[in-house]
Amino acid sequence: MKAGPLDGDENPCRPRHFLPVPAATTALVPQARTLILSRNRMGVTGAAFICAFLVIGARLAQVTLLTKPDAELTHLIQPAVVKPIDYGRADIVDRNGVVLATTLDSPTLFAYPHQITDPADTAHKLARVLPGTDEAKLRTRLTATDKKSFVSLYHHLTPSQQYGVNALGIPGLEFEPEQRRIYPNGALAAHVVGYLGVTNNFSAGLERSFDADLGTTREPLQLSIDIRLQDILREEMEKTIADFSAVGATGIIMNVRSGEILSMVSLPDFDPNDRDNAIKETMFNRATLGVYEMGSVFKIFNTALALDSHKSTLNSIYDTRPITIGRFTIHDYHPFTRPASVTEIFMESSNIGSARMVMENGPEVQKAFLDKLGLLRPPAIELPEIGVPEVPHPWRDINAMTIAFGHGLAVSPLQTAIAASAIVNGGVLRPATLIKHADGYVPNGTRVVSEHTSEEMRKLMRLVVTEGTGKKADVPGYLVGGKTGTADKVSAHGGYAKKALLSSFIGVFPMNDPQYMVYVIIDEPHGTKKSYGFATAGWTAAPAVSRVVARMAPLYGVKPIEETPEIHRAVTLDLVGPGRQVAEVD
Amino acid sequence: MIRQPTLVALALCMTLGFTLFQVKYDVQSLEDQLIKIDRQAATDQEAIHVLKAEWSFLTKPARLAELSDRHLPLHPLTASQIGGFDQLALRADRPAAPQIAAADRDTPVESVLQAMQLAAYKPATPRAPGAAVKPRTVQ
Repeated sequence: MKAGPLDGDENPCRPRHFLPVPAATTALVPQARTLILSRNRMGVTGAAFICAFLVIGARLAQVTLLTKPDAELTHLIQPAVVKPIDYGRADIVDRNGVVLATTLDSPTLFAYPHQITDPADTAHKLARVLPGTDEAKLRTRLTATDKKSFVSLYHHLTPSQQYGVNALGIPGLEFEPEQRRIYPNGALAAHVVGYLGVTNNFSAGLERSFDADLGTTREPLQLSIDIRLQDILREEMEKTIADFSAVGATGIIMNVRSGEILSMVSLPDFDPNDRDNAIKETMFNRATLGVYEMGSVFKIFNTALALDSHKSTLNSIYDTRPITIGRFTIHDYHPFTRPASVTEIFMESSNIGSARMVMENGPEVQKAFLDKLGLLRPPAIELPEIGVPEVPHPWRDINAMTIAFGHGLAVSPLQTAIAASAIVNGGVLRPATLIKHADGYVPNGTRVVSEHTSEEMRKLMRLVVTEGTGKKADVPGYLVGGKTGTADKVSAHGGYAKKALLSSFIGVFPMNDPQYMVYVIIDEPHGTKKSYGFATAGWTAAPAVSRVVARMAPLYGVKPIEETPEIHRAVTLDLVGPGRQVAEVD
Repeated sequence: MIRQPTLVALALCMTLGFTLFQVKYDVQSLEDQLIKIDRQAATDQEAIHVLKAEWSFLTKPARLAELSDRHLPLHPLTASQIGGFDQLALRADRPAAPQIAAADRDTPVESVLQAMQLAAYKPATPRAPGAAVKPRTVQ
């Protein structure tokens, strides 16, 4: 008989396979039946449990390994993340990353007077930490006999002042968090950066035009402005204003290839941090909002038109006797005594010659050309302060003649700078911008004059500096070229005020391959002993441009060029005819 | 009497339990650390933000110019102070040093110069006078 290991064992709890196998013939005893029954029950229960565990296991595997985590749930189980402080408005930085506008915590200090145990001592301590506070006044505020629950003590604390107050450890003092827009460079780029007002309507400059972007993105807004150039230009213009007791000035430095504006200054200026005390007139941006009759710098456009339309060549000769139309007579500041060539007319800035040149093309063509240069429409620039040019209507012959030398059409300095950069950069007008381009990016432009005309204009402008009215703009080594412009300002009573001048100089360098333009306009300069009484562009704006170029060129890595006779010939023109001594005036 | 599988199961259970708690506490402490670091980062960011503004304020060009005037004997750069490598005399133009002459006794200076000339002369498009003096910008 086959049996388990322990024969004859009567233990009912012994597992089945250990039990002796009962003989088939043996009848089931009652104990055995109970045993089978309980064993079956245990088997069923065990199976149920195994099933349950299998289901749980499968579900666990599904949830942990196979399912993608639910975003909402993941968020819940993430540890609390401390968010970096959000200032609500992005910074504005210059092209090198120098902060021009930023938002800082600037809390207000207030106190619960009933919690202050020693008002006199508190007032004494606070007055030492907070500048400009009066100890006695603080004490009265802190003593507060009325039922006021709290009093505000000081607005716009700086971080160090806040630290100072905290260090005092006085209970009952609290800070109300507040934020404030700060302009660390003060007045230096005030007209470009602008300021942030209570609402957008009270803002100005780029703070206004980029209001939405600054509020949504947290990336700083990088301008094309270079704060170093801003300082150089401002300093040199301030010097000129002081030297010639002028009422104001404006200047633009521009990359003539890319259209980036590297500097834009309007004087007098204001401190955007202290707007409440600023004089309203100083907030006026002369560079973009002011429109002026530019005077002889317009001869750049007039000569470019004459050359580009092939109506004149550099050697075309024009009559230089005064022109009289109706009650107007066009004179020259320093008249020729003989007919003059286009080169001489440009070099010596002859109004009469310029007027005769434009009449070869007529008013229609001139108008179309100036329109193509963007001088008849408000320029496209990121600033909200844009002056609308004053365009004569109708545009008659007399208008054409005066516009030829820059009178009778008022445009903003920015427009003039954009148009002039197109003339010198090879003839392509590119949109100007105050926002930094990616390195090497040059926006598409429209051709306004031919490559050849542009080259001739460059040579003419170099000639103005070597031989003509702009000698004081020269900087040895940097081949400065340019054009002077001295306009009579329109007086308040209509007509031209003879004593009030607008003297300007458009300087471009280096003239063999122009890169940068420095444009300076001096408003109402007065002659001095040093300038022999002259207040014309050659004596006021040209030296300022020269000083700016001398300081800026090394900063921008422009390599100086020794002007050998060969190079001189390559970048300028030989005068046809006898030539003559040119007075250093406009 | 405890049998082996039971023992193994028990040990496994204890190890798992212990590991679970270990991991849980590790995670918790890491989370605490994370929060602390985050908070520190936020504080530092805030400080950097303020310091940037202060830096910009303290490095105003006018202020730097004034400080430089007061403390440094430096003046703005002028064009005459800038030169290029082409302005330096060629080594071949200088009187040959005796050591070199001794080493290269077999090679006459004339033939070296000719070789240099040949190497330099590669007829290409004739350069415009403007291009010949094109200044290089370093920005």
